[in-house]
Amino acid sequence: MTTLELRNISKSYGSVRAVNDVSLSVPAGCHTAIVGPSGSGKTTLLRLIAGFEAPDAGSLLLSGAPLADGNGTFVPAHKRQVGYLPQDGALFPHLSVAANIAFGIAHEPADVRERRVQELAEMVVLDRAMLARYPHELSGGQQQRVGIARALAQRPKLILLDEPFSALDTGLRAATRKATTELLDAAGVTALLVTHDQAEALSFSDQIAVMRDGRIAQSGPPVDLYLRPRDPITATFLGDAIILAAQLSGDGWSTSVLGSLPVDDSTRLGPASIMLRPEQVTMVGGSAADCSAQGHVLDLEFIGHSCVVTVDVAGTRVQVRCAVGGAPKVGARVSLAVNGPAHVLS
Amino acid sequence: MGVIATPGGGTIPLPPGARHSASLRAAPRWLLLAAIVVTGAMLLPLGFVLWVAVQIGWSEIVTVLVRPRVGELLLNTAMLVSMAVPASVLVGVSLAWLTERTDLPGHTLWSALAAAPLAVPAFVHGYAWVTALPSFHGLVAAVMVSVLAYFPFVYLPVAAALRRLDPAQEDVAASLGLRPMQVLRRVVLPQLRLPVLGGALIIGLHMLAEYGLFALVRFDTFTTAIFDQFQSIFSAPAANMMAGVLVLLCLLLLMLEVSARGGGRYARLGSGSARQAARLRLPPLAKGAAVLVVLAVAILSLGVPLMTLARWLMLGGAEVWDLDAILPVLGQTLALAAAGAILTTMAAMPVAWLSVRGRGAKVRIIEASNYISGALPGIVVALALVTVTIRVARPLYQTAFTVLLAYVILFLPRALIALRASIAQAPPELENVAQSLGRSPFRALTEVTMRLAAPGAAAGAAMVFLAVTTELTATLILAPTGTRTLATTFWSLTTEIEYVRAAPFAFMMIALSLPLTWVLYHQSRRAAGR
Repeated sequence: MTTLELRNISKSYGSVRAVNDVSLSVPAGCHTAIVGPSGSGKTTLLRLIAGFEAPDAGSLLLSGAPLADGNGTFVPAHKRQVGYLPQDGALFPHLSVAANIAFGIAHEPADVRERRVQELAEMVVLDRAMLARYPHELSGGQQQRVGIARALAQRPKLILLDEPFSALDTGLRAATRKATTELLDAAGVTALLVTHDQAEALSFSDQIAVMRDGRIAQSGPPVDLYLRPRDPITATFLGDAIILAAQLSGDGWSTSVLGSLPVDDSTRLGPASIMLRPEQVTMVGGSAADCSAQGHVLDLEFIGHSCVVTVDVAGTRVQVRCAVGGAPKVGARVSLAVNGPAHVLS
Repeated sequence: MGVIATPGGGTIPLPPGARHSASLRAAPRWLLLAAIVVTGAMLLPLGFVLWVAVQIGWSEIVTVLVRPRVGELLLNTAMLVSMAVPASVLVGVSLAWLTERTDLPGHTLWSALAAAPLAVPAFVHGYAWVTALPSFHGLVAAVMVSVLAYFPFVYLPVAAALRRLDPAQEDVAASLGLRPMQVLRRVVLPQLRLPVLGGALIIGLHMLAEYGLFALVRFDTFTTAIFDQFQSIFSAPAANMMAGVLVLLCLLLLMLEVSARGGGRYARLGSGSARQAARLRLPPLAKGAAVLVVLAVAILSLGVPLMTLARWLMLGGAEVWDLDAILPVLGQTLALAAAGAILTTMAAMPVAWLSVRGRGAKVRIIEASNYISGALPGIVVALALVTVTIRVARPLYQTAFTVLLAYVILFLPRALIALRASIAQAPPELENVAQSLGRSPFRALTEVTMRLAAPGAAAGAAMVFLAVTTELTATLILAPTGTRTLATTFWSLTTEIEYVRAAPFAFMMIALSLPLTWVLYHQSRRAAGR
C-alpha cells in the first residue's frame, strides 16, 4: 500500500521552476531520502508535502486522500497530520520539554497527554528528569530526540525530516542518524528525509530520489542507484566514480584503457561511458599477469583510512584507493585489476 | 517628537531573509490588511501636507511663504540645528570615549550620569534654566539647553559601539606603528560613523519638533511659530503651509543622514569578542581635566534641572502637593498613556511581522512609510488630525480617539523597533512546526511567535507609555476639553509663571521616566555583550 503519492507536481517562484513535474510514490513504512545539491528543489518539495506551500500543478495524495491538486483542493499544514522535523529541531524555547512534546496533542485530556509524553520520552531514550527542563538546557542530540518525540505525538502517518542531522557534529551525527532510523522503524512511521549529504541518504533509506534542477533525476533502492546510476552527474554525486570512454561489443564486454572488462549491458554496441566504483579496482606494484592494465603513479593523497592514488594509464588518469601501508611511491609502475562488471551510463 | 531612540545605534539591521520565509502571498490576508490600514493612518500627516499644497495652489503658497518672517524662521531653525547637533556630537562622543576607553576615575558612575538627562523632558530642562536664570534666552540659550537635553542620544549608541569594537583591530594598528591617538583617529573614530549619524539624526528631528523648550527660552523656530499661528487664527492656512515646510525640513534631514552613511561597508562588529579593549592611561594632568569635563556636563545637564526643581519644591513645601488637583491629572495621564501604549503596540504588530517575514517591494514600502511618518513633528500630526476631523469626521474632533490616534502615529516606530527585533528572534520554522502539529496559521502566530515576541512588545509598550506621559504639543492641540495630563498641566502652570505649582508635575514626569531611562541605559550595555 502506498502512503504518499506525488503526481506531476510543479511549483514556481516567479520565473524560477523550483519543482518541475515531480512524481514519486512512497510505500507505507518506507524510509525515503530526497538527495540533491542545494538549490535542487528538494526543500521546496518537502514544504509542498508538509502543506506550507501549495503546488501550482499536479496532485498530492496521502493514503489515497487528496491533499492538493491543481484545481483548488488544498489541505493546509495544520489539517494534514504530517510530522515535521526541521534542521535544528526548532523546539519552542518558551515551553518545557514535556510541553514541547505535548504541543500537538493539546486537545487530549491531561492524563492521556501525560501518559503519551512519558511513553514518547521512553521511546526516544530521554531521561524523565529532562521533561521539566527547557530546550536551551539540552544538548544538540537531545534536542533532536525531543523534536522527533514531538512530531510523533500526534501519531502521524508520515514524518518529514529536513536535514535533521546537519547541525550536529560529526561523531554525534552518525549515532543520531542510526538511533533515528531505529526509532522510526519501531514507530512504524513512513519517513521522508531531505539532505544534501549522500552518505546520510544512502544509510538512512530504503529508497532514494536524486533531485537536480527541480526534477527527480533518478529514484530507486540505494544500492541500485549507487551501482547503476543513469548518468555521470548522479554517479559522482553518490560517491567517487571512475568514468571511462569505452567501446561496447554487444556481448557484455567492453574495451577501454583498463583493458577488456565485463559490463552490465549485453545489448548495446559502439562507444559509451562506463563507470566503476574505486572499491572495484585493486592495485598491485609492478607488472602482474592477472591484471588488465598497467600505469604509473602520478600523485598520492593520504585521507586517513586509505590513500587515493592517481594512476596514469595510457594517458588517462584513474583514481583508485589503497591501504595506507601498501601505498606505492610517486612514479612507481603499478598494475590494476577490476572486480565485478562495469556499469554502462546512458 | 515621533522619533526612534535606539540605544544600539539608531537602526536595527534587517535580518537576512530566510530563504523560505513566508512570502507576501503566503502572509495571512487579515494581517496584510491590518498592516495596510495602519500604514494608511500613518500616512495621514503626509497626505494632509500634500492636500494643503494642492488645495492652496502654487501662487498662494509663494505669497504666504516668501516673506521676511518665514526667512527669519528658516534661518533660526538652520542656525539652531547646525550649531546644536555638532555640539551634541562633540559632547556625546567625548564622554563616550572618556567613560569607555580611558581610566577615568569612577567611569561607571559617569556613564550612568551621561544617560540620565534623558529622564528629564526637554521642556523641563528649559523650565529649569529659565527659572534659574530669567535673562537666559535666545539662540545661545536654545543651543545650550538643547545640547544638554539631547546629547545622550549620541552618547548611548556611541558608547555601545565603542564597547563592541573588536580590540584586535586596534592591536593590529598599534603593531603597524600607530600611536594611541593615531589609532583613535584612524581606526576607532571612523567606525563610529553610523552610531554618530543615527544619534545626530534623532537630535535633529527632536529639535525640529520641539515646542516647549524653545517657547520657554523665547527662541522662534518653525514649530513654535506654527503653534502660535494656530492658536491665534484657528486652522489657518498659513500654519498648514508652514507645517509643509517643516515636513520638508524633516525629509531633508532624513536624506542627509542616508547620504552621509555612504555606501562604504563596515565589517560586522563581532558579537562577543571576549576581550575588552584596554583603557588608555591618562596622564595625571589630563585625568584631572577629564574629570572636570564630565563633572561640568553632569552639573549642567542634571545638577541644574534637579537643583532648580528641588528649590521650587522646597519653596512650595507640602502645600503644592494638592492631591485633589494632582491625582485626577495623574490618573488621566496614566490612562491615556496606557491606552496609547496598548493601541500603538497592537497597531505595530502586523507591520512588524510583515517587515520581518515578508518580502518584496510592497513590504519595504509599508515599512518605509511607517518610519518616515514617525519622523514628523507632533505639531504636523496634530494639525493634520484637526483638519481631517473637522472636515470629514466632525464628531471625532477633540475626542480621546483623536488624541490616541495621534499617539499611535507619533510613537509607532518605537514599538515597531522593539517588536521587530524580538519577532526576528523567533525563527519562522517554529510557526511551521506549530502548523504541522495542528495549529492554524493564526494560532501558530499567536501561540508561538507573539508569545516569543512578548518581551519586545512589553518593552515597546513601555517606551510608548513614557513618550505619551511627556508628550506636550499634540496633546495641547488635540486633547478633549477638560483633559489634563502631567505635561499639559505643567505647561499651563509654567506659562502662567506658577513655577512653584508646576514643580510637582515636573517631578512626577522625571520620576516616571527614570526607570525606563535606566532600562535603555542597561540595554545599550547589554547589547554590547557585557
